[in-house]
Amino acid sequence: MLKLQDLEVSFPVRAGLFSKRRCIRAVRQVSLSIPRGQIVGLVGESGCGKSTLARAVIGMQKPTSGQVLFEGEDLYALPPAQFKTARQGMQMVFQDPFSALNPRFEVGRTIAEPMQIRGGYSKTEMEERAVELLLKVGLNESDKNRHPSDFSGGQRQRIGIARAIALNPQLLVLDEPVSALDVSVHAQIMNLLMDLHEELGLTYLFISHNLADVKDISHQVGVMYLGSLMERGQTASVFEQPLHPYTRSLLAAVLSLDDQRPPVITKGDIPSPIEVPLGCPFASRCPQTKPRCLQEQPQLLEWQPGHFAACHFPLVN
Amino acid sequence: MSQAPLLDVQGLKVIFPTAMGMVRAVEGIDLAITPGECAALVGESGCGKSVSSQAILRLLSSPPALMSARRLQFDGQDLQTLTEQQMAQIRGRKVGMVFQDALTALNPVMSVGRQLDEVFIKHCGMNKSQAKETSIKALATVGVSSPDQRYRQFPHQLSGGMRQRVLIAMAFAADPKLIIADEPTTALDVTIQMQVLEELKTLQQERHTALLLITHDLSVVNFLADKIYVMYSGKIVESGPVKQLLGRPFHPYTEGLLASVPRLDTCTARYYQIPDQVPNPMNKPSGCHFHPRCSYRDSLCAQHMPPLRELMPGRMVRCHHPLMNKDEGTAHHA
Repeated sequence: MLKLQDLEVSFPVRAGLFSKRRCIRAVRQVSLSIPRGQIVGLVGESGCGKSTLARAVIGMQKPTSGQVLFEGEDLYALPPAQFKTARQGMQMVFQDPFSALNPRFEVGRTIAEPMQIRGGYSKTEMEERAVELLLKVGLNESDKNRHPSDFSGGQRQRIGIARAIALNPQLLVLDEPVSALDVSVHAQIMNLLMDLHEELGLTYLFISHNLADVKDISHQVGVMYLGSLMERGQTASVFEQPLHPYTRSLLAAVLSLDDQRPPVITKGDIPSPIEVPLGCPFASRCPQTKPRCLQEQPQLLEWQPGHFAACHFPLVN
Repeated sequence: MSQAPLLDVQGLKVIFPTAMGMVRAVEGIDLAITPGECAALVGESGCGKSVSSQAILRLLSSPPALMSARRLQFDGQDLQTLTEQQMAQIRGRKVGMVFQDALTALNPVMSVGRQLDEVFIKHCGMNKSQAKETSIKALATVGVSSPDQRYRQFPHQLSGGMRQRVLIAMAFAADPKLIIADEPTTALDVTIQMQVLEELKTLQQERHTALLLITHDLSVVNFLADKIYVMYSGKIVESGPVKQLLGRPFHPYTEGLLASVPRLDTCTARYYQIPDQVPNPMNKPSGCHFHPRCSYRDSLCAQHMPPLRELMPGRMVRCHHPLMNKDEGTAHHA
């Protein structure tokens, strides 16, 4: 349903007024496809380009090169009218439920706004649909007249989700939907997202920095680092047998509650995206760097059926 | 618990009077930390954990905040009777602080080196050149790469992990007896979080510094702390040694929290969820504050706030129906 082909997004930056123009390559040659009805998780640390990728997918950030194919059509090559129609098939849920909602709009109006923009709905239709959506995400009918400030973080995220599914989209792009929430509310929203996926047959691109979030919800997982896709494959194989040393160190850094194994510490800091080193982006921190890693950027290759990794020396047995 | 506590807090209360009514942020909590011990204060946002730590250091401006305590002793001194000047002597020298957001905690127009120097000059009576030398050493101890260069840099030039290390170096600078760390690694990436936690743990153990860790993250607690206090809606609902308590919680809230943490080592099709949400601090439920969300509640819970009882040596629980029965306690994990 969604296919990214060699997607590249770069931003020109200047370090100082008179210094040379440079480029941040936020997303570097990423190819990824999401089959209909599936949930694809995208994980990575801050600055890895996962949010920029989300914006490019949803039509908010024109890629520098490469294509976003939605239902087989190149999103950014469509004429404006068709672009608008295609855009309605995909919606986004944002991380921060406090800034994603207009504080002056009643909740009912926020949820009905997408319908108003699309047009063709009568006022009562919009109202009925807004109530239906509120109930669907676990809120009450009476909530439609209240303002975002009356709600807690978890409830606001529910409102954001209701707005996103108002136009019956096929694809939802979820950019860190549960990261800002408390532990107990976190579980509630995850369950809601799983229920909606099943009930409405939605397709998700689920972006998170938290590996544990992605693990239970996704069919497939992609791991990003400094703009590049380092590994992708079925969730179980990526988590149980990671091929890329970066994925392995990410998994090893997650603290466990049972304390069976001592956590492994990855050395070094994430390099600045302005000065991405030549060769493998992870080479400066990798425990098994070889000379080749410093010179040549590895391609994303299929090392095992359906399991890709961009590493010269993947951890294959 | 043979050792006399370094920090002894009893019946700490904090109230914020607002136009809408009284907000009872902290409703009488007891905390005790012995020298070199790491205690964690855990809870969700709005439970009063940060306010408690600020109240202990008397950092809340009053008015508006009203605070009281039966006992507020640190290192043999009654903090409630000290003057503002004497308190300033304690903060920074005897008690260090690490905050969550290093970018706002550091002065943006001063190099990190000079900010670190200040601590040594003010609290350790060093001169400028001694301070500089010590600062560079301190930066190296917390794992800051090329400390000579970093010394001259400004906060915005450092990465999040580096800034957090600078804060840790500052907190440890005057060799305090206690460090209060409020969500020290929450804003960091996983791989960086691990590095910073490791630095914090090593320093704390080497210097035998007591640590009061404020966090919502149970896995961080499990890694760092010896003792845990679980807070809910302004009250401590359960406390005890970390491994014991996390392995077998007695309070339904702790059980629910543990069960709803997403894990890497197990597979779930659905998360366990505590129904509903944290109560509004202006309008807390009668009886046990947790009862509307609790699956073990009965009429007693709605009427009377349960007392904090010691169920096993060192294990305190505030619940009418603690999960003492083994199969009860594991029902949710299935």
